[in-house]
Amino acid sequence: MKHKSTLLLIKIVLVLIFFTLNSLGTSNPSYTPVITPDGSTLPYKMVDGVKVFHLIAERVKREFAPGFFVDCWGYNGQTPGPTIEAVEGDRVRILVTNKLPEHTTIHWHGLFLPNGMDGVGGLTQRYIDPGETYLYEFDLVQHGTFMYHPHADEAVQMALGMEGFFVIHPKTPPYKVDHDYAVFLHMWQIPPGTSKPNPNAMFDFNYFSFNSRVYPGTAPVLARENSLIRVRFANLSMESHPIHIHGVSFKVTATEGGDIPESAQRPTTTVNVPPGTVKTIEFVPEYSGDWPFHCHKAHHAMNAMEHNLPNMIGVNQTNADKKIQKLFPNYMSMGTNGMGDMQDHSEHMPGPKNTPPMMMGKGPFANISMGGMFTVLKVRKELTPDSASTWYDHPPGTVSRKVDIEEDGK
Amino acid sequence: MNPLKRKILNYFIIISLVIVSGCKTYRYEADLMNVKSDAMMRLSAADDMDFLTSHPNDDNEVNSIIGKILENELTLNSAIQLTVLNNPELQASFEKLGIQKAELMQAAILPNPNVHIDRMESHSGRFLPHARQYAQIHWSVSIDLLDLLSKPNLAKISRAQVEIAKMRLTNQLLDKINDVSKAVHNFLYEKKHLNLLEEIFEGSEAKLELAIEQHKAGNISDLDLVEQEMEYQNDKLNVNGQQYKTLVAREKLNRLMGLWGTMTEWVMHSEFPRVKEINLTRSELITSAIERNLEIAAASYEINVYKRQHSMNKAMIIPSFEFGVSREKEDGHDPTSGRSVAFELPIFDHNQSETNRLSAMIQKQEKEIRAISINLRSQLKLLHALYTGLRKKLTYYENAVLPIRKKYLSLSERHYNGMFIGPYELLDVKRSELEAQQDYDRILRDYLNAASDLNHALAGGYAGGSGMFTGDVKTSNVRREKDSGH
Repeated sequence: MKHKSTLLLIKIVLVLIFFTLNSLGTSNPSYTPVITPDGSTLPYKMVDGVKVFHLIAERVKREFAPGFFVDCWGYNGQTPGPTIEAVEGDRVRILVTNKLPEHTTIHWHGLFLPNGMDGVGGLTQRYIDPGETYLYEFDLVQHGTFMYHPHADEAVQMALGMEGFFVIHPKTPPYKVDHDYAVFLHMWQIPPGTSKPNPNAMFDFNYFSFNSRVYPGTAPVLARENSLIRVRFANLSMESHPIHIHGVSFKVTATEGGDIPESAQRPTTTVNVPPGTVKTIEFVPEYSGDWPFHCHKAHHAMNAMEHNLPNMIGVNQTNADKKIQKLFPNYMSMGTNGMGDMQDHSEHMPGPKNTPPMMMGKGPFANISMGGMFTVLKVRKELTPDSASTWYDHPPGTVSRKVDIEEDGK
Repeated sequence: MNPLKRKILNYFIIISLVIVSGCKTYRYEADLMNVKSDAMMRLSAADDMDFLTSHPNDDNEVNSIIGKILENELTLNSAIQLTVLNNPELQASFEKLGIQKAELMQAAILPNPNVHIDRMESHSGRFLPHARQYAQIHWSVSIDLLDLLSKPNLAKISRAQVEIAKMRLTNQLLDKINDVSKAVHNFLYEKKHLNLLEEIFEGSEAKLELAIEQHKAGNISDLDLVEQEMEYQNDKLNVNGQQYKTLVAREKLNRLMGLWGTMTEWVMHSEFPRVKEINLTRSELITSAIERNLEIAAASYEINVYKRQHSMNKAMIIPSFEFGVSREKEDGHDPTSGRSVAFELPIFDHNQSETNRLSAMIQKQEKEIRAISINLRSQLKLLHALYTGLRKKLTYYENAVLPIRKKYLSLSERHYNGMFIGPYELLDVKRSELEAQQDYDRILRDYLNAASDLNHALAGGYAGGSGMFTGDVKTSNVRREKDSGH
C-alpha cells in the first residue's frame, strides 16, 4: 500500500514537471537549443500565446577564472545576460526591471520591430529609472542571431558587461545542428589587484573573455566527431577579434543581418568578429582531439599584463640580479629568454590579489601558458559525461616527441 | 698688665694670626661634586647618569675610564660621560670654581699690618769724622681698621659669588650635556642617512647595470642609457656629500668628547636612543622652566651681592682708617712711644662713582632677568609647539606613513611578480621607501633634539638668543659675556 502511494506520488510529480517544462518552453523539437557556455538560457512563460520573459538589470559578481572575481553589471545575476531563445513568428513580451543605480534601457540589436520598442533612451522611449519595470512587446519577424544591450550610458553599462544573445530560430529550419553554441566576446580593463572594470578605458584592455570568462575559467566546447556544430559569436567590445579554431575548417553561415547564401560561404579557419556584429559559423569536426579555440590577437589570449614593461629579451641580467637581490632578497629577473617561464614563476612568487597570472593552465604535457580568449574544442568519437574534464587520448605515434637529430632525424 | 706680659701677649697674637692665615688652603672638589649632583638631579637622571657623581682623582684615572668606555660601542650616555670627563672647555670651566674659591679665601684673610721703620743719622758724622755723631730710630705698626671691619661682609659676598659660579657651572654642564646629546642624535641621523643613500645608490647601480645590458642587447636607445647614467652619477655624488656631512658630525662629537688620535676610532650604537615622553602642558613647562632657570637664579643672586656691596659702599664715608702704634729712640734720650691714626679726608672722593656703578649694575641685572624671562617664555612656547608637533608627526610616520610605504613595497613586489611593473619601477619604489625612512629619521632626530632642549629647559638651562633650542645655536654666549663683565 505504501509502495503504491509512493509510485502515485512520483507519477504526479513527473506530470507536473512535464507541464511546467512545457509551459516554460524549455523544449522544442524544431531546433537544437542553444548552449551558452558558462551561461544560461532565459526561461519564459506562455501567457495568452505570448512568450513572456523577464530581464532584471543588476549588479553581478562574476568569477572570470578560479578565484578571480569581477564586479560587473549584467542581467539576472550573470554577464552576459541569459540567452533569449525564441522562434520566428513568436510574439514576445519582455519585462525589464532596473535594479541598477542609474537609468537604463534595452536595445534589441538587429531586430525588426516597432520603432518605440527599439530601446534607445531619449530617442524612442523614456529611460527606465532604478526600481522601474518596462515592457517590450513585439512580434519576431525574422530569424538569426541578435544581441541585446543597453542604449543608455552604454559606454559604462556595456563596459561593465551588460549584453546578451537574442537567438531566433527559423520557423522551419532547413536542417538541425547537433550542438549550437553561443559565445559573447568582450574585453575589459581591470587594473591588477582590483575587481571593478574601468569603464573609462578606450585602449589598453587587459582581459579578453568568452562569455565573461578568461582561460582557464572558460568552459570547453564539446563536439562529437562528424557532427554538425554551430557557434554564434557576438562582439560588443571596442576591438575586433579574429577567432581561430584548430583542427576544423568552417564557414560563416550568417551575420546579425541574416543568413549568408551558401554560394557566398567560403571555408576558413579564422573568423574576424568586428564590434557590433554577430558571426555564425558551422563546421563538421572530423578529427578527434583537444583543439585550441582562441582569438588570434596574441595578447588577447593572455591574461593581464603591463604593456610598458622594459624589454629584457636578450639582456644579461646576472650582475644586476645580484645587486637588486641586496635590496630584494627574493628578486628574480624575468624576460631574458622570453616570458615562457612566467607561469612557473607565478606559482611560487605571489602576484597582486584577485589577479590571475598572465599565462595559466595545465595541460597533459606541460603548462598551457595561455589566458584570456582561449578554450579547447574537445572533439571525441562519442561524448561522455567526462569528455569536458579529460584530455584527449592520443593514438600511439601521433604525438610530437623529442628526438636525437643524429640518430632519429635521418 | 706689666710690660713683659704685654709683650708676650702681643707676640702670641701676631704669631697666631700668621699661623691661622698661613694655614688657610682651599679645595673645590666638593663644590664640583655639588655641581654635578645638582645637574644630575635637575635632569631627573639619577638612574642612568650616576657617573656624574663620581670624580676621578687624577688624569690616569680619567684616561683609564675613557679607555674602558671606548672599548664598547658608544651610546648617548657614554658620550655624555666622556664629555663630562674630557671636554676641554668644561674642564677649564671647572677650574673657574677654584679661582672663585681662592677669591673667597682671600676675602677671609686678615689684612697685613703696615710696618714703618726710619733710622736717621746726623750729617756731621758722615762728612766731619771728628765731629760728634748721633742717630735716631723710629718705627711704627698700623692696620687699616675699615678693611678689617669689612671682612665679614666681603666674605659673605665671596661666598655668594662662589654660589653664583656653581650655578653658572651647572648651567654650562647642562649646556654641554644638551650639546652632546644633540650631537649624538645628529651623528646617528647623518650616519643613517649615509646608509640609506648608499642603499639608494645600490639601486641606481643595479639600474645602470640593467640599462647597460639592455643597451648592449639593442633594447634601449643612447638617450635612455644616458638618462640612467645621470641618475647614477647624481646618487653617487649624494653619497659623497653625505660622507662629508657624517664626518663633520663625527668630528663635532670628537671635539665635545675631547677625543683625538686613535681615540677617535670609536663605533657608535646605530639606533637612536629612546627618550621618555614629556607630558607637560605649555603653562606647566613655562612655570617649571622659569622657576628652575639657573641664569635667572644666578642673576638674582648677583643683585643681592651688588646690593650688599652698595650698602657697604654707602656706609664707608671714609675710604680708609689706619690705626697703629709707634716708637722712637734717639741717641742719648729715653725711647718714646705712642699711637697713630691716619685716614683719608672724603672731601672730593667719597666713593660716589662706585656707588653709582653698583646701582647701575643692580638695574642692569634686574632688566636682564626680565629680558631672560620674556625670551624664555617665548622660546618655550615655540619649543613646546615644536616638540608636540614633531611627536604627532613621528607617531603618524610610525603608525601610518612607514607601514604604508612597506605595504607599497610589498605590493609592488607582487606586481613585479605578475609582470605589471618592471625592475626599474620596482627599484624606484624601494627608493621611495628609503626616502620615507630618511624623512622619518630626520623627524626623529628633530624630535629627540627638541626633547633634549625641553629637558635642558626643565633642568634650568637657558640657551639665550633668538635661535635657542634649535640645531647648533651656541647656547652660552650671553652667559660668557656676563661672566667677563664682572
